[in-house]
Amino acid sequence: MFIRTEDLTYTYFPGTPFAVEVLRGVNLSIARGSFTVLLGPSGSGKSTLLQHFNGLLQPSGGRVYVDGEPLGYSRRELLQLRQKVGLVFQEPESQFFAETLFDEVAFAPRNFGLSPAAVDKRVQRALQLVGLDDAAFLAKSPFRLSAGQQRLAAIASVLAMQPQALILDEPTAGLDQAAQDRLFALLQELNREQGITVIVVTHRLEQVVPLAHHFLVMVEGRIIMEGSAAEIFSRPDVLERCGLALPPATRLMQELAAAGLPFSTAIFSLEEARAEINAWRERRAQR
Amino acid sequence: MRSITLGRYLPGSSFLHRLNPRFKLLLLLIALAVIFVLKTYAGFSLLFLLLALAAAAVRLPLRLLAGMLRPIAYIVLITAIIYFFFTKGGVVLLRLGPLTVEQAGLSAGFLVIMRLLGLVFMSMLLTLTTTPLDLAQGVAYFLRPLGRLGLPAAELAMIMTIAMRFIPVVSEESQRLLRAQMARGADFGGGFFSRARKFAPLVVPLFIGAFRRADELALAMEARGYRIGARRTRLREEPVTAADWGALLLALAALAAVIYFRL
Repeated sequence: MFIRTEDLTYTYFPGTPFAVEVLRGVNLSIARGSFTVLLGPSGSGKSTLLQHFNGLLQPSGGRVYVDGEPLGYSRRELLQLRQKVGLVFQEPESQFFAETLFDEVAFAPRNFGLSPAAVDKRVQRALQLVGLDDAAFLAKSPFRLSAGQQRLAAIASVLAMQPQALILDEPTAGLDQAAQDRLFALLQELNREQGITVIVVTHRLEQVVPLAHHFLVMVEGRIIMEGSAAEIFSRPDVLERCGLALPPATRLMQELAAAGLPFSTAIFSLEEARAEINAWRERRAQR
Repeated sequence: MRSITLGRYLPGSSFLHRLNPRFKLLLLLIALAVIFVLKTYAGFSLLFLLLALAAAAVRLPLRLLAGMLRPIAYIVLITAIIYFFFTKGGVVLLRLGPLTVEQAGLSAGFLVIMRLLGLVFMSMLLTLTTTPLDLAQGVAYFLRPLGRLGLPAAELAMIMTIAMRFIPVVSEESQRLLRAQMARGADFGGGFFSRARKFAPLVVPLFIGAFRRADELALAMEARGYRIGARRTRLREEPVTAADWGALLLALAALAAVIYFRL
């Protein structure tokens, strides 16, 4: 297991009248190289949980393990951990501060004390991964990129640390369809080809289902359900509590199956639904 | 935001919470006058007894009180020490080489400590029991007469209200940015100079965000018909009750008593 938590709890403003218990005993395991989706209604503690994985928040109770080791919170240990586990915040382009895209992406590797030559290499590599490696981009102000490009640049600025795990908090929020598709394609490539462990909070079920191995459902500071897409979608009532709707194709097939037709309900895209229905029609035509 | 800062509001429904903000400002003014007139130990004992009662009525947790007093502890201490050593008169109580602490110095130092603590304590009670918005509206009320002299009172009030409204937003945003940059390996520890140099990744996005928010707010206000100089009413008017007048009269009586009895 790459990331594991044991009875993780977290309370904001402990001991004051403003105390809020956000995480109430989270137990989870995330395998190395897996693609995990964290689902849950807003305010369920997803963002707070993610910030424990790279030591930005220290648990009030319980433990976090990364790579088999319980986390330590000294300056040196934290710096190492953050290199290992990259975290992309919500709307990460709001962190931009540098004058050029190069400097923006070079921020993290420079913080880790790499030589200029190594920094240069890391920046090139990160920008290549997200497809912004055209030389014309390097000297451009990051603020002059399009919204989709800005999001990719922000992700590149985390990838420049060459993390083993990449955590993204609602990475598609505010992007148009084309930019969203581009982003999911990037996540797939990072996971499948670069072997990076991906953990993502998203509501875009249809797009993420083909990529994901593992789903975690979080409600009120606890993981209430986990499993594969088929396991999660067999409980639409729980998903509804999270404010999540099933992908339309899955709902269609579930309703057809409920009406007595011999369809599988483990179907998540319109293409799969079409194939399933066509196969059934052929079978019927042969009879 | 982990620390409990000065000027924070503590939700509640105590007597102090329910007083009209305008009257609370007047009460604070009178209480400040009392503090600067008071000069006996008996008088200060009485004042702090009353303040303790008020704090209990507000259900102020002791931890919160300690946390709020901590930042001013040094100021109080340094001021008191200066008074101890440099006000002369009366019996010499302590001799440290060329420096002496004399009776007049000791009592002057104590008076200063009491005054500063009283000052902070009372201002704290006001901000703890009054929302920033109500406070800004209260101040604006007293600025209103200055409108006749050409002071844009309503606009100043709006500026204050907006500023107050956005303090928590900006503070939350700065915390978020701090953590986001730390996730990219930024280290905000170290000495003052190395810290100041590392501030660009924090300050630049904070300013950009503030300007963007200001633009959006200006548009939203114009879209809802905000015009400079227009007459406006408030959605929620704070009523003035008998309790408000009672509290004001009591405070004035206390001030008169302090002056009359030379407390």
